[in-house]
Amino acid sequence: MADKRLWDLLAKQYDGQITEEELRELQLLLQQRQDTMPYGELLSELRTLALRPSAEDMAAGNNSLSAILQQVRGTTGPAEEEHSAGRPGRSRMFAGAVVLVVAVAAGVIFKKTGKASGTGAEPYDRIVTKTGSKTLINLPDSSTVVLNSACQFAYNKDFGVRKREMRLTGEAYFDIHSNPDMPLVVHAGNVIIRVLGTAFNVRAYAEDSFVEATLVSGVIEVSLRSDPERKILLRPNEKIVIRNQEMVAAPVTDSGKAKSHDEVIRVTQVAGDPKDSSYIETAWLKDKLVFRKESFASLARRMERWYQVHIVFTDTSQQNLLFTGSFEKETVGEALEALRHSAPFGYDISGKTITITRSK
Amino acid sequence: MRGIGAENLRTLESGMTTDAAYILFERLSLGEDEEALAGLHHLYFYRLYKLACSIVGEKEAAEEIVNDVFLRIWQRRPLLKAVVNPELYLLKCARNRSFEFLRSQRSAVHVGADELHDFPVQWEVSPEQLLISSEMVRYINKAIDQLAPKCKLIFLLVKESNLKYKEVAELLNISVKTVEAQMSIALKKIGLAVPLTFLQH
Repeated sequence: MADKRLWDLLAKQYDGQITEEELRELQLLLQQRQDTMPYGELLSELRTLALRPSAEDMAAGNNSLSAILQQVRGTTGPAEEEHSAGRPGRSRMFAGAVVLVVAVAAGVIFKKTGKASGTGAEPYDRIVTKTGSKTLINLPDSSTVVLNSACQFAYNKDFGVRKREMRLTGEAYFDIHSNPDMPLVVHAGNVIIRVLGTAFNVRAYAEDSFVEATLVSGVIEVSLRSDPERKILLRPNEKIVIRNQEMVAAPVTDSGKAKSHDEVIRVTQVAGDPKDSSYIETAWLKDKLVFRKESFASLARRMERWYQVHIVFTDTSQQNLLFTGSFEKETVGEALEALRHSAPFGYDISGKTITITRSK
Repeated sequence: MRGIGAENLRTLESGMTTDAAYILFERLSLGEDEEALAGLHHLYFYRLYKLACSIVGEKEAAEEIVNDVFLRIWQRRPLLKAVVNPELYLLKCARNRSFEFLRSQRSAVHVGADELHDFPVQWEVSPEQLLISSEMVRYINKAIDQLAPKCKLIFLLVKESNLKYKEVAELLNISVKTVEAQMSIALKKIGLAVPLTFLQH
């Protein structure tokens, strides 16, 4: 009887509809038999399995797609020429990758460059996103990358053929197709992330003083460009924050001596919010700006990208205020009002510039 | 703690595919975007095909049905923007077309979720997985394969399409309690199929 209860509760948990009371009961039941049966863990890992189509299924899939496209082309009629001339997507398609634009704002500028971006003479395809837009990129190896606003992103032209390399300035969520023979490498600021196949979030804006990576599933290996031999392995639910050394060295260290690696790199556990079951780090994917005990200085930079505004502080003491909360549909004015309820400060909005002052 | 973490992962992943489907629907609503149609096909063909297979029990018919779903989507492009949950919408289209097909085959026969046909599904694991070995996947696949068709379909819908139990219940016209009970059975069979030695690593 207790056994059935255990599986019923695990089934409820799997759906995410378990009440707090039931969750406590489940944890108790699991604890009682923890040494023998780590079922909770097994079931969590079940989610990482992927459906494998059989050869027969794949043949059916290919048949189906060509039959559909044939019919679609047959029924489109004479108007097709006109349409395809100005059709979005077609002309933007490059190197087999499909780029999908979320039309939040006017969106995305695509650049095809044959030039190297950085080291070597490798040709890269580059994508630049504007503030206020979100962009989904489907890569030829069926990996996907979602770019947050104001990003510069590039990947090698023969992506997935010989190697998989990406460069990122900005923030992106990666869902990488597993390929043990061809690890994927992401260069973000001074940080190098090696990936086998996994889902993770990277935040590396040039104006921020750090690069951070949050691992959702799988394994990634993080190293510094300045010290490629030192590798840090990240496990799921871990976040690594790497301070940008050049930027930290100047104002922060009064003593003038260089910081050691351990002060520069910090690995922490991230826990999802049990209420709405989401990570703060990936809330932007759902069009939410979420912050937990974040300094006003850091929050202001994110609000600048979020609302496409410029935020100036007249007084440094305001920059150190800590805020916890989230914005979704609020206007920038409503957001500032909400923040003002939890800490005293004043502000002036003049066009796209917001000035934060001492409280009036 | 681990369980809660994985819960987030699931919501996130489901958000991801839903996002992709939503964007593709939006693109289709804007024009004759074959690329978007192919993208949707890539994301959803196998799931719709398995659902159709389990309802009609014939592979050729199931393939036709899924083709039909995508053609209808194409014909109704301008309306797609209004679809709130593209993933569920596609699954519902496949379900409706499947039942229509059955009705056209044998007149006035009521078909319910208890008359589902068996269909093969296989899952695989990426090699860097922390806990599940390929040996374990074999046990898991075997356990899933032995589930009753209804139980198997429910597990597939929950696992692969990240549907909530409520949505699965709606799709198959059964109660949420039934979905919960079937998932409990599925999880138990899978859990017990994996020898303990594999779990104590």
